Amino acid sequence: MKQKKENTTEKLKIGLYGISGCAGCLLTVIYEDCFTEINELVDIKAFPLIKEDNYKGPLDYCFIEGTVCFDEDIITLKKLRKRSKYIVALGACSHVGGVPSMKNFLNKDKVMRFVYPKYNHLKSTNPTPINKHIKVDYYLPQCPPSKKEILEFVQAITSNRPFRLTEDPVCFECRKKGNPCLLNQGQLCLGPITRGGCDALCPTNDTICYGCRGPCPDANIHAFKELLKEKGYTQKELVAKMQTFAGLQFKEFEEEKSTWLEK
Amino acid sequence: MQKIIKINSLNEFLTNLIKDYTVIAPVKERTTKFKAILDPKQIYLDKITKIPLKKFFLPEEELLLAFKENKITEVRPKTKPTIIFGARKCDLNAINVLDKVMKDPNYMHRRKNTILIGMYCTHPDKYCFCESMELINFYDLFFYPYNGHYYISIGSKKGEALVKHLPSAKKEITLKFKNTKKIKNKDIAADYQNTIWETDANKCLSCSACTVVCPTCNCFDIKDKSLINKKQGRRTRSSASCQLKSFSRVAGGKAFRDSRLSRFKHFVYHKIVYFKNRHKIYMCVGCGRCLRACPTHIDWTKTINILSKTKKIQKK
Repeated sequence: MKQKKENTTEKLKIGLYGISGCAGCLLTVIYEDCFTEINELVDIKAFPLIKEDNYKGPLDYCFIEGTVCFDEDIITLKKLRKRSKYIVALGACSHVGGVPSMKNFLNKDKVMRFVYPKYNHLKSTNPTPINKHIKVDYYLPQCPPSKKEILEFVQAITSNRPFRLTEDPVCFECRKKGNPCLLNQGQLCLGPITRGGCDALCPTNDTICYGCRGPCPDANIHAFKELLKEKGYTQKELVAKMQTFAGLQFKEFEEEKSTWLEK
Repeated sequence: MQKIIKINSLNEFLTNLIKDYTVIAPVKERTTKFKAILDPKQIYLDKITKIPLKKFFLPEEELLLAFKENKITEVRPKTKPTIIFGARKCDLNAINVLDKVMKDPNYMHRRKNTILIGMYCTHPDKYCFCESMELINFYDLFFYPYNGHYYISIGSKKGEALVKHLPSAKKEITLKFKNTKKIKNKDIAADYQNTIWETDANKCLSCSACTVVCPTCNCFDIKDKSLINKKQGRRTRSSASCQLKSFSRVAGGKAFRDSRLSRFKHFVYHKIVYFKNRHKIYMCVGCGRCLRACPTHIDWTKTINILSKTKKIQKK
């Protein structure tokens, strides 16, 4: 009994917040097989998506989902940073910018007029991942993040183990599963330059890899470009694929000045 | 002494085997691979399988032990007596290579339980270079198709028991084929520092395709995982790849094979030089799977041939 009491007092205080985004990553956490186990290990103090009255005091770990699209987002982020010991970027949007970050490479006004033809009062800014505004301690990539990885992370923080993302490319897991290579079939798959850890979810289902987990730290983008040139793809097609999720990070990776946690 | 069987009655022979054994043979699904079959019609022998035979002996994720509080139970594989049918000469020699290195109980258990039946391959393709790799006869039974019959060579007592009922052949048939691809001079030990390797290494994407499809690559990674209550857990073994940086990463974050070049050279030198020095056989069996699987078409056999050519010119 004594042990149990100690456990309840020792539980880490966790908050799950979302800024501009589809809330899909937070939804992944609520899935039955994931949520019950997380709830057992940590104390979920704040979760505005499913809770009405949320704890407003200091937190140990704060999970943040979404991209910074408005100035209000930056204010919320800075408040959360002050309140919590560690910030965890949850999902591709907060990790690398996600789909909204595509706007960085397009004409802002054109995009604005295309999506909202009537509302002229709206302001349009460049969507950026959260680490451009606050210090981020951990990243849980992928769109949506894998339940396995979320659980692994929560297990690691509750038992004081270090948590590290894999540095192997998607290809390694894909090949181990025995999938036929989509690149060899002539499709533009970003597997060789994308960070693994997703169990090659897309290539296993015969869909190309879009690079939602950002570049693999050891990627050989130069050789990959040469290969695509040989196969008859243009630079534009490759860049368009890379910009689907992690365009900003791929760009920084090529320029070799990555600000992301592990290079 | 060879046995003989009609090509038409092979299916009957196999159906009889399926009754008593798990029969593993090459099949064509999303990829070509070795798989347990129930019907001999599934067998696909036209092309070399993309997934090598080692997957049967070294499964992708193998449970080694499970623990619950303070009790540890070691897990042993439960396999029925198995027959591997339709393996090519290179596949069988790859098993010979694995036998030299893998000595753990799980592997030995699977190995003892298995009978290897080889099949002569009629169509080596442009990537095959097994002729250059000094392959030996390593089988329990080996089938040579010739003139409407299979001539069966017997390699062990285990294999002999399977073909006792078949008639003996009047003459012995052994077939030989010719590869278009060859490695002429395999003595590359002195060329480790040669800059020629850089061209290949610069093309490498570090995708690990070559090591995953290699029938003799056997490096593995052991992981411990605990369940959420932290009282139960399991230890698993899964394959690793020397072409990845994480392979040589140690505590503190240092990776010993940091450059792509050193990783690539290690792959080639392990196959051709290091293993030969230690075990007297080449680790590479010349199946050409790494060349077929490589997305950027790196051909290290070509590089070795260029090396030997330049050497000849230097001597003159």
